[in-house]
Amino acid sequence: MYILKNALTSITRNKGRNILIAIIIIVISASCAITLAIRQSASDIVTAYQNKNPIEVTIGMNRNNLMNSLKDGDKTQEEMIDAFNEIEPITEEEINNYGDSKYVKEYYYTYSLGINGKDLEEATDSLVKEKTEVKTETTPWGGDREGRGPMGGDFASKKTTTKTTEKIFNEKAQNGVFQLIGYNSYEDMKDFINGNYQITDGEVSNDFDSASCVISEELATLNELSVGDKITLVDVDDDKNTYEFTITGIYKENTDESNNMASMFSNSANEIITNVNVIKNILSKNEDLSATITPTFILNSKDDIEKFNKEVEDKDISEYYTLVNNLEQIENATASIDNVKNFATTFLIITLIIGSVVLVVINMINIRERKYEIGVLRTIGMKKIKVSCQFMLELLIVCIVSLMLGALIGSFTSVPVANSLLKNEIENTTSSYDDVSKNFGIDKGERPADNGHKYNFGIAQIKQVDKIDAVVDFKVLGELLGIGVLLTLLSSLASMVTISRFSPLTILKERS
Amino acid sequence: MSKNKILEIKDVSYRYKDAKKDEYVLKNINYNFELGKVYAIKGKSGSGKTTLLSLISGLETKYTGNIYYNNKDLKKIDLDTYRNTYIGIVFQSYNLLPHLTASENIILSMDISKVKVKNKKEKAIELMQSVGLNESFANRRVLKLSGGEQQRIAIARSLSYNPEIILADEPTGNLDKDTEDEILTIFKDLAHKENKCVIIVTHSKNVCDNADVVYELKNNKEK
Repeated sequence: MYILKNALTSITRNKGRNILIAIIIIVISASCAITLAIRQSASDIVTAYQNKNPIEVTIGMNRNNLMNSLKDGDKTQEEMIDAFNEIEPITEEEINNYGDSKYVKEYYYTYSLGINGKDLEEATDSLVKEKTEVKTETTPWGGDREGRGPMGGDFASKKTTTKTTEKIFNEKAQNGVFQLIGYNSYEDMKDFINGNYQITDGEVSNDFDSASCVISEELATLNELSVGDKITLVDVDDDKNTYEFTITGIYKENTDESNNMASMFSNSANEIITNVNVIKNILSKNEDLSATITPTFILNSKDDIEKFNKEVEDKDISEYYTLVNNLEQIENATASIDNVKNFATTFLIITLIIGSVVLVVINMINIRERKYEIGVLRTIGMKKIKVSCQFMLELLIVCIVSLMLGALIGSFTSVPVANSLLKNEIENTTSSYDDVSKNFGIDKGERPADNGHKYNFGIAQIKQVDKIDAVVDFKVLGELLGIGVLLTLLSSLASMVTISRFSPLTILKERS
Repeated sequence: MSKNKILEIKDVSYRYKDAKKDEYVLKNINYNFELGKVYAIKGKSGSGKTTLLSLISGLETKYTGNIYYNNKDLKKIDLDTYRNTYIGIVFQSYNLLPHLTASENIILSMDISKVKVKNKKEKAIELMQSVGLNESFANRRVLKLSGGEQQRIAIARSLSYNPEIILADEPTGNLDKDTEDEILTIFKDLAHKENKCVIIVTHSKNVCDNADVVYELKNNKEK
C-alpha cells in the first residue's frame, strides 16, 4: 500500500517529468486508439459483410474444356452446337449430392425457364425484332418489265422482301422473352434477402405450390398490371400450352445506377418469379422444354472453397462444368476497407515499436535521474522488487491516465480520419477502374467485368463498402489498455534490470 | 561473553575488487559492540572506517570473516530486513529524499520497516521533537532545511522503527560545533537512556571524547 502512496506522491511532486512522459504517451495512445478503432471497425464491417454476403459457389460451364472439346477435329458449327446440346445438364440429384458436404452450410437452387407471354409485352429497348432483308431478283423476260438487256433482250426484275430468322438453335440458350424463375422457399430468395429486389406492392406468396408470381415494376407498368391480375404464359415451342399465373406482388430491383446504363430497363425487368413446383409442373407437361437449374452452395468459410471444389471433382462432376465462387467479388467489395485496415495495422505496429523504444529510453533516463532516490530507498531497507514496483506503478498510473486522454482524443478523431482514409482509398481504386474502363471505351463508373451483368453465373453482385464508422468502443479501450500495460511492463523491465544492478553503496558514494 | 553484546566482527578482511592480492582495506578486524554504549571508530582517510560501516550495515557483502548480529551471521540473513528493522543508518550527507517533506521521510522509513504504529504522522512529529525539531518542520521539504536540521531528520528517520543499533557515518562532519554537540547529546541519550548501540565513524576528536569506546583503524591494526 505504501508503494502506491509513495508512487502517487512521487508523481505529484515531479510534475515536469511526468507531464513530459504523459504527453508522449498521449500522442502514442491517440495514434493507437485511432488505428485500433479503424482496425476494429474495418474487421467488423468485413465480418458483417461476409456474413451478409457469404461465400457462395455455383456451377457454371467450363468454357475452356468445352471449347477444347468442340475444337477437336474439323467440326462444323452445327456439329459443335449439337455436341454442346448433348452435354448432360446438372440434375437436382447431383446438386443434392454436392450439397451433402461438411463444407456446405446450406444450399439452394433455382429453376429458370425461358417462356413467352400471351398478350404480355416484354421490357425491351429493341424496336426491330426480326431481320428484314430486301432482295432484288433479276429475271430475263419475266415479271415486271424494267428495261432491256445488254443483248437487246428484255429483262425483268422484282423486289422481294423476306424476313429471315436464320439462327443456329441452341437448346441450352435461354429461349423465350421472359425468364420464369422458381424458388423453393423464402430462404432461397437471396436477392430479396440481400435487398437487391424489393417488393413495392403486394407480397411474395408463401404458398410454394401455387401458380402465383411476382413481376417487375417495369413489366407491370408496360402491361398495366397490378396485384391480383392474372397473366398467361405460353411455351416457347408451342403456344397452345398456356399457364395462368396470379400476380401476388410487384418488385423493383435496387440496382446500382452505374449498372446497365445502356438499357432503359433493369436487368430483371423480364423476370417472373414463382416457385420451383410450378416450373416442374410445366416441364412435366412438355418434355421438349428444358429448365436451367442454378444451384448455390453457401460454404462455411473461404478456406473451404478449395476443399469443396476437390470434393465435387471427386464426386465426378462433368468436365464441362466448373465451380464458380464469389470470393473475388467479396474481396473486391471490401478491398478498400481492407487496404485501410492494412494501413492502420502497419501504422499501429510502427507506432508501437516507436512507442516502446521511446518509453524504454524515457524510463532509462528516468531511472538514471532517480539513481540517488533508488540508493536511499535501498539503503533504508526497501527491497529491489519493491523499488521496481514503485517505479513501474508510477509509470503505469501516468500511462493509464495518458491512455484515457489519448483514447478521448482518438475517439473524436478516429471517425473523420478513418473516413478520410477510406475516401482517398476509394478514389484511388475508382480512378484506377476508370482508367481501365476508358481503355475499353466504357463510361466512367462501370467496370468491364460487371458492365450490365447482374449475375455472374448465378452469383449476385456485391456492392462496395464506402463508409467506416471507426468508433473507440470498449473493445478498443480494452485493447488500448492492454497495449499500455504491456508497453509499461516492457519498458519497466529494462529499468527493473537496471535497478537490480545498482549498488546503493556505489550510488551514495558517487553522490558524495 | 557479555549478555549486552549485539554485534560481533570476527576476522573480517576486505579489499577492493581492483586491488592487488594483499592490498586490504581492512584486515582481520575483530570488534565487539554492546547495547547502551556509544562507539567511535576513528582513523585517517582511507583507513576503511566507512567501509567497515558498510560491512556492518550490510551494504557491502564481499568480505571474508563474519559479522554477527545477535549471533546471526549477516551472510545468512535477509539484509534488507536487517537494514529496515534492526539498524538505523545516519549518513554525513543525510540521504533524505528531496521530494518528500521531513515527516514523509520519516513515515516512509516506518512504512518500509512495516513497524506497527497507529498514527505514523504523530509518531514522526514525536521523533522530530525528540531530536530537537518542533512540529512546524514536519511539512517542510527537506531541501528547505539547514544541514543540522536535515541531520536531525535523518536521525529521527533512523529511529522511526526503533532499531537496536544506530550506525552514523561522520554525522557531524558538515555541522558546526554547537550543532555537533547537540547531535552528540542525542546519540549519547539514545545509548544511555534508550539502551541502543550507537556506532559513529568519525574524524572528530570531540566525538571520540564523547564516546564510551573508541576503535581506531590504523594500518589495518586496531588501537
